[in-house]
Amino acid sequence: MSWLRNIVARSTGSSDAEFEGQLDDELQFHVDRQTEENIKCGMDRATARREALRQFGGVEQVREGVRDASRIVWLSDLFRDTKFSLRMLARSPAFAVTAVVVLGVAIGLSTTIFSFVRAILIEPLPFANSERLAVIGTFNSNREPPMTGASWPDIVDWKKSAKSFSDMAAFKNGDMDLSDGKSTQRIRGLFVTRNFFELLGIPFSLGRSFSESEENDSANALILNRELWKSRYQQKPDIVGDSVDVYSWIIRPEHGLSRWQIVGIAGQEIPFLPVAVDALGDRFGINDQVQFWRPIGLYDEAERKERWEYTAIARLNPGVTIEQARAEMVTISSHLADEYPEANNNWSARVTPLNELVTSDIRPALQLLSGAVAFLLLIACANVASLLIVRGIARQQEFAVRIAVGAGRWRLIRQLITESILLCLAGGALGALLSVWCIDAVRLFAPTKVPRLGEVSVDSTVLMFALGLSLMTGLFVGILPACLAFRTDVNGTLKSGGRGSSAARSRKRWMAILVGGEVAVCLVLLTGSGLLIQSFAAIIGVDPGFRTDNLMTMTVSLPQGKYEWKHNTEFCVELTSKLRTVPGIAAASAVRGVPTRETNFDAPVFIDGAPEIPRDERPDVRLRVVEPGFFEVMEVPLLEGRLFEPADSIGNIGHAPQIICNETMARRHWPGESAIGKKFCVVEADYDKMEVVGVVGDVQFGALVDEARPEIYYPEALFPQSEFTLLVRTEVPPEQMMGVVETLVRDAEPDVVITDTESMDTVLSKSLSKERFLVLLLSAFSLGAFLLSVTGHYGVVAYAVSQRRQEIGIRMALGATVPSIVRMIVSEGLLISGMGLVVGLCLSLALSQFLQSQLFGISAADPLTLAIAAGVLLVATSLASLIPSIRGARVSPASALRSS
Amino acid sequence: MQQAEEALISMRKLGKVFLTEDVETHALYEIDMELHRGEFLSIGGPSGCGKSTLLSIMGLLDSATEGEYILKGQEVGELSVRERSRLRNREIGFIFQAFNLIGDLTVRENVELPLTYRGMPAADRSQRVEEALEKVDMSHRMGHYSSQLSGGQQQRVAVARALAGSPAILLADEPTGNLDSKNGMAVMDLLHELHGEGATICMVTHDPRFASFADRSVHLFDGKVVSAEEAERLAKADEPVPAAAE
Ligand SMILES: Nc1ncnc2c1ncn2[C@@H]1O[C@H](COP(=O)(O)OP(=O)(O)OP(=O)(O)O)[C@@H](O)[C@H]1O
Ligand SMILES: [Mg+2]
Repeated sequence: MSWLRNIVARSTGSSDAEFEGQLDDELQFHVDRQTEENIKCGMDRATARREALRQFGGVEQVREGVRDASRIVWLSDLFRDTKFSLRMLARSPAFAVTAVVVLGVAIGLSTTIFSFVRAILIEPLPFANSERLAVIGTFNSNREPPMTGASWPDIVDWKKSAKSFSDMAAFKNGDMDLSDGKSTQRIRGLFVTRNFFELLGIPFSLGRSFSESEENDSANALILNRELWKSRYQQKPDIVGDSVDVYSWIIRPEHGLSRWQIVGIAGQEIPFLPVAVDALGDRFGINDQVQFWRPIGLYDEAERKERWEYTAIARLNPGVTIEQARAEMVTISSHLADEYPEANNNWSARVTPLNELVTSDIRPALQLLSGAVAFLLLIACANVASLLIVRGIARQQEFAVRIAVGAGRWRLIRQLITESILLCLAGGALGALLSVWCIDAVRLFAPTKVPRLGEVSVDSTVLMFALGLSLMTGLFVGILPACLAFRTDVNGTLKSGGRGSSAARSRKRWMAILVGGEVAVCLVLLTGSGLLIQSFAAIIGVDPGFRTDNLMTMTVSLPQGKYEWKHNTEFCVELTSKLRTVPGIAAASAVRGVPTRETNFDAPVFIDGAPEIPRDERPDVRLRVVEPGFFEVMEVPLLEGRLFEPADSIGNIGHAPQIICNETMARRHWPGESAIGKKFCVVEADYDKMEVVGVVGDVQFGALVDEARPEIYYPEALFPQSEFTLLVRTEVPPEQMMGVVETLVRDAEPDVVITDTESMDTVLSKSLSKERFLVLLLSAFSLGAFLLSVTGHYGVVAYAVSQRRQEIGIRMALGATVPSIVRMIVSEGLLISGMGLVVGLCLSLALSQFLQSQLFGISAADPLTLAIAAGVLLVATSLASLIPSIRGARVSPASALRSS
Repeated sequence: MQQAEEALISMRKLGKVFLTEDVETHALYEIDMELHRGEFLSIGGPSGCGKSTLLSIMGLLDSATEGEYILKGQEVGELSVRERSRLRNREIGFIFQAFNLIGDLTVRENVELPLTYRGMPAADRSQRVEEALEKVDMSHRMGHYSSQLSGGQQQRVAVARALAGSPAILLADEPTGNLDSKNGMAVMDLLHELHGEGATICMVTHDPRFASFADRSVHLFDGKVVSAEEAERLAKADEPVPAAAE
């Protein structure tokens, strides 16, 4: 790079030789002065000069170090700084590698979490101006659950009155079975109003949206997605106008195949949207593509009080905020309540931005992890900063000489920050590499319902983030050590090697602050993960209400509408009884909805003889259809009365005179008395009365963390289902029976659609994926934080001990014993970690509210957890200071005093 | 010289070998020496002849590898680490060339240190500290950090620290080495005065002016005690002479 040197020399108006000359003069001056001083102290001239040269660390070396210090040109300064920094770092590879690894891991993890946050929380949904889309359902605080979907008449009225929205559409999820006469294919899609496509800005590859006349169930118009068009119809260019055969469950007397006409192919793949009312579990996930659209099917008889079916989606007018839209919808809701008190009293529209709803489940977890990883980065920074401070001490001679020969202090600080930025850039590069691997690892544990999980990757934005973070970290890590180096006491350092000066004291203080801070932040992370672990254990400990091992689930779905209702029941009964005869199967039954995953339907309940309750405050019960053997297979305890008998299945379809309820139902509605023989009806007060014949234990059909809800069981024969979940109790591991069961099912009905073939243990484990994700990641972060803070603590104490070798020697010369020295050092270490713990405790309590929503069965301010976390840290940091202190106290006092 | 009384320190055939990376350094070889109560002994000799090593052994900072060392009638080699600490604390006061005050402690705290290790109650301690500082004329700087003092002042505080515990012996290793001649003289005057008051002092110095303050001088050469004349002859020789006949 001699060309650069020359350019620089010319531009600064002095040649290299001239510069060298100036430098020599300057150094000579300092050495001479020191020599004079030494002579004054009684040395002879030769010794005095030798000593002076030694104190300056060798003229040649100083010249080397200082050459860089006097240039003015910025670019060459940067180049020089970089070159010199690289040389300095290469000279202490252990330090450089440690710092780069610590920073690399922290930056890598931060980048990983950032890439998740960006793909999941920040990237917009694939709709034009998706931030202006809002989902609307309804809300009634008197009810349980308080939130639900919207009724068709309400949506019509909302659309008519609301000025906040440019347009409003309605949709619901559903599936259909495509048939080619030989086999059927289950496809999942949306029932929509015709403005759905325009509202979301979905283009058409072929054809068009539904016409006004098609916006009616009987029109049988169908729009497919491109993927289906490609895979099933080989991208047939003139597919619009073709008819396909479909089994579709529709409310009308005829069944069997129906013909549907394809009117368009959507030009864009879209995911399933979150619906306001979600009874079907995760079958229509945000990561699944919508395969078809069909008209929503509006019935004149759609009732205002039926809120379980539709979700409204609307686009905010430009300039209208979500709060304004909410306020307007509240006003409209109250007008509707005045107009239709019977159906709408206390019901209000609930407006949620689509983006928010899509991520509502995972957002708190990701925010928590972002906070945790930021804390981890902070700890890593503190760690590297204290390493840099220690390094600065070793280099004090160099700094002092640089300052003595006229290096501006700002120049010195810049040199040091260049060094820390180089470290962080190397760390960042390592981090970016690590994040590629980490993203895959994290994705492995990520809950399946998280939107756009597949899109998380290291792309240019993520790389820019890593770069920006590295630069910021470099500045952050470098500034304090540089300022402390800048405080170097030139005089003192040159004379004494810099012991006991005020600069040394402030360095010690700052290191204590850094290490104490690490302990504080580490305590927050440890407490957080401790709480999450306990919460997770509490969830696992929840009794699901049935025996989960050796239990297999398989959801069996007959083509919708292919058969008469009656057939579905026969199919179910035949299938379960056939299964019971298979060797290896102990028992088999069927239920609507996979336990611990699918909540199914709720309906208001009217208890005989109970005081009149306004309709909107009427409690709900959950309705569940079971094959009579359900309770035996699941080993759900019978608490009172009897289980279903064959006679219970006889009667009119849709009318169950005798039902079984769960314990919570019995307790809530007939407290203190027997529920047996009690009568009630559901949905409407004038529906058929039902009588309780048995009470069974609560079964968790929703998530394990959900509170038990009142539930009633109907015999399947009276409510035949085209889709039910087989429950098979096996005598061998359930996985071994899956093939056999599937073959049996397919033999019985070739057109059957089979999903959810899993062991119950797997179902349960999957249902905990979000909690497990959070626990695993946070624990990993806290472990990292713990290791960093403990090693940081160790480093600082070890450094302090090394600096105090002489002091320890003096103390021992004065009669200090080894234990008293150890005690002194450990107690100083304890003081630092103790103060860190106090700060950390306050911080943990202050931050506990952010964690509470993710906890189950434990308070975020749980004193025991706090105490244990603090105790662990205290013990670990004590051990970390014990080791160097014992080593320090072992030193022979004679040699400690000699080396001074 | 008071030969009648039992010697405070007595060494017989004392030797010290340092072992570093398989290299043996014979720092001291067959030292026979006695030090009596109230005596002021100076030890001289060229650099590296073993003066500091001898003083460290006398002060129980290090132990001999050969021979015996009896302090106040007690064979020191048999003592445990803890007993050595105790003895060092009670019987020995150190004064070093580099002062060796603790920079982060105040003058008062520095002087107090040996008393603290002795477990002395606070009231007694502060009285002793004040007396000792009074003696070296440093009581006005009691609250200063030792790093804020000049070299001469630091050495006076170091003397006070050595005195504070009223040890049996003061061991001084070139106490004037880091001081200019004026300050050096002041410290010597102080030691002289203490000796006048009955203190036992053993001082290493290679400055003949200061050695003259002592009652008696011992010369070391290459780890051995040599006579004054021989020491002079050896010192004058340009080339270091090989150690006396084996
Ligand atoms: N811990 C040690 N390990 C190895 N050798 C040592 C050790 N301490 C002293 N020595 C050696 O023992 C010899 C005597 O050292 P000592 O420090 O006693 O000399 P000194 O007479 O005090 O010299 P000076 O006048 O320079 O202080 C030297 O050769 C020295 O190198
Ligand atoms: Mg010496």
